[in-house]
Amino acid sequence: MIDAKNLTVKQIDALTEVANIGGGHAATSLSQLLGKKVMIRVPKLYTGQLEEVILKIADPNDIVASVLLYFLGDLTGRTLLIYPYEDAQELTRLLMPEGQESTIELQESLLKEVSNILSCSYMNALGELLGLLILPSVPGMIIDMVGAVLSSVIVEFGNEKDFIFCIETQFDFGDFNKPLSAYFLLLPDNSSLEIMLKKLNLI
Amino acid sequence: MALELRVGIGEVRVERGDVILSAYGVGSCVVLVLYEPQTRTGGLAHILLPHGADGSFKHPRGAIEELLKKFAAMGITKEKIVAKIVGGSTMFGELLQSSIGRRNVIETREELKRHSIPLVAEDVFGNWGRTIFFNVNTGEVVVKSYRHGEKII
Repeated sequence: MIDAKNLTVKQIDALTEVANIGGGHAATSLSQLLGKKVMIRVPKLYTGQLEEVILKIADPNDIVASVLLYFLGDLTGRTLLIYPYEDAQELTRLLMPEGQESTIELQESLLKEVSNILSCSYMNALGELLGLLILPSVPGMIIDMVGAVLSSVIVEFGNEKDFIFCIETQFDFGDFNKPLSAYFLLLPDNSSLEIMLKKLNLI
Repeated sequence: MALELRVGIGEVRVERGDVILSAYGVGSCVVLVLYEPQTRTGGLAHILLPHGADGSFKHPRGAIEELLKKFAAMGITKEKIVAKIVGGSTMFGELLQSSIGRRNVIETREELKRHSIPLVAEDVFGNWGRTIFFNVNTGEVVVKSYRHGEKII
């Protein structure tokens, strides 16, 4: 069984590249949807105790909109998209059809849908690259403190281990003087991490 | 102004005097507060999982034992201590089938019973995050949330 604690430099590089490809596809989808340029940052790979990783990702008290999907098939795990609250509001404003009255329900639905598209293009790219079948669930969304979201998603889903592995890709878009950001977290189950590395011929 | 001390996941703290013990962004985690009113001594544990390895404070059993040890070091026995618990949400309620938040609460209650520590107040379950400020001087626990306002227990 692979141990996320002991990944080699080569394995980390390969996983980062895979995330970059997934992120690239997701960015293209977002760009087409918005009709705007979208930039992605170099993916960050986090491994460690849950409490340390959470503090690296965000201040636990920040209010965010977050959309969770889990995926099944050859790979299992979950994806979590996190938007700082103001950025989420601005994003829905950009996506809102002209002349449409903006309601909370519509905003939530838009955000869920755009997150669904982002996650699915990311996971499709991964599936094609690795030759794996990956099926996403329906999205679930909440607006709340990021610490509560992250800790719950990470513990509730895994095998109750508090050592975690995840890859973050940051998207920046909109006005580049003051870009909006979205953070995409890929949280594969440990067995799926092993499958990914096998497919990459790294174990 | 009281001194605020943040207690992270898996940490345990016992303090006396003009101190606020806080825990931010609590979801399925459980925050356990123990208080001894006479000497105004308070402890807070930030619990992550219902069970876990010995020597860790991330689960109720380990956290309570460590809290009581710290109280004992200050000369306080458990007979005078009361407890409050906060947290144990199920975030993304409809999507996450698992029940760690709920089990964290149940396990913590069980452990308190085992130590015969009375549970005097709680604000648990639901599907929202909470931030906790425990005033050691007054024993008051302020629970703030983004979606469900603020309350004192």
